[in-house]
Amino acid sequence: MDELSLPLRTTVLFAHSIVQAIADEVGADILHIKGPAIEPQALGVTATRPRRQSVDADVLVRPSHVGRLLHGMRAHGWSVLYDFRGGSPFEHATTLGREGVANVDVHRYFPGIEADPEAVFSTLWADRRTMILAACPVQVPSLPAQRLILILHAARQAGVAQSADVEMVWGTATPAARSDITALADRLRAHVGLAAGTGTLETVKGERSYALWAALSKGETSQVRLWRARVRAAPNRREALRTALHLLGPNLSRMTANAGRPLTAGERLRAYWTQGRRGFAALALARRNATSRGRSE
Amino acid sequence: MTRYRIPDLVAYDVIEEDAGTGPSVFLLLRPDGRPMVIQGMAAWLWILLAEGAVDLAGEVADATSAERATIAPEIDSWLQSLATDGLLELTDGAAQTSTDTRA
Repeated sequence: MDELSLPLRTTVLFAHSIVQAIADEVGADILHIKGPAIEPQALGVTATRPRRQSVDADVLVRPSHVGRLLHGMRAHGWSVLYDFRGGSPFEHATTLGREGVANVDVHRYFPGIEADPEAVFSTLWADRRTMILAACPVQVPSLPAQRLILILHAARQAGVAQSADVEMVWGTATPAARSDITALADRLRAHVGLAAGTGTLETVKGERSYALWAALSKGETSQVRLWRARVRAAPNRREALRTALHLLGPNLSRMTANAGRPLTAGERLRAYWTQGRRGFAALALARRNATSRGRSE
Repeated sequence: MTRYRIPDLVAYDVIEEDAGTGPSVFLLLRPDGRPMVIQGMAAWLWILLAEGAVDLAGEVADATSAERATIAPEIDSWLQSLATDGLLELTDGAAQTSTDTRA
């Protein structure tokens, strides 16, 4: 039997099937999301339209089962490439990898869904469906939930209007399908993200997280404006402070992954110093812009 | 007749056509195995097995006009080697008439 380079799609399917086997072994509830875990029915009548090829496998884990799943994956030779804090400003996912198959993004919640993550998972789990990936049964969310997750994911990218996924699951959806997505979004407190993803963000202008989604969906590049929006979107003052401090720090996980070795103390110190100076420079620029806008108004 | 099935821990992906070489089947024994590929006649045998064929030698003989008695030992040997690697398992008892329902 040969060992050849695998098609990318197969490496992703195998990653899904492996993480399911580990979840079964350790008793962790997981739902497979995005990429090949989207059922053709969820994509509607234009499902033949080409979609971007996934490069990793995404799973959503019951928050109270995160520890056991990650422990199980490490015991089976998976290494953490990015931890939750280093993965993204949302701190929603950690990336693990092992030789021979695609990386796995383990999500402990999904950005845009603002209700309590444990309750959200229970809601999604209650309506789960079974799908076959690489000849192995895996659990996926309901069809409306699959569609909502695609829309929320697209809403975080600039140029959401051009998203093929949004066009397929919302643009061409029947009124009944849209109604199901909207009802689920209301139940999960994902209505702001849904509005951002479907081009109706102005209808939720009074919401706490409005500015964040406005910034993300418009491709905001100013780190300061994104930072302010993230802090404003935090549900309480303690979370806001934690978010604020975290976002001002350098992404050490990503730097370690890029370096391919643990960072030295000197490199970590320099990273904090550089990030700090960058932050202050951006703040100064934002202040200057605000002042000049004020003068011209 | 010895019957085999695909174990639940085996993941596989069938690529139907690969530049005129026929199907390829990528296999992986979860959770720790390395991906492997089988091609040509081996891939066809796997697909037959996955679709629930019981008499693989008979199926191949029908399709290729080969002598069943000639090919049966080779197919059995190949199936045994897969079973040794954990990629197949013996079905447990005569009551089970199908090799696999996971196709």
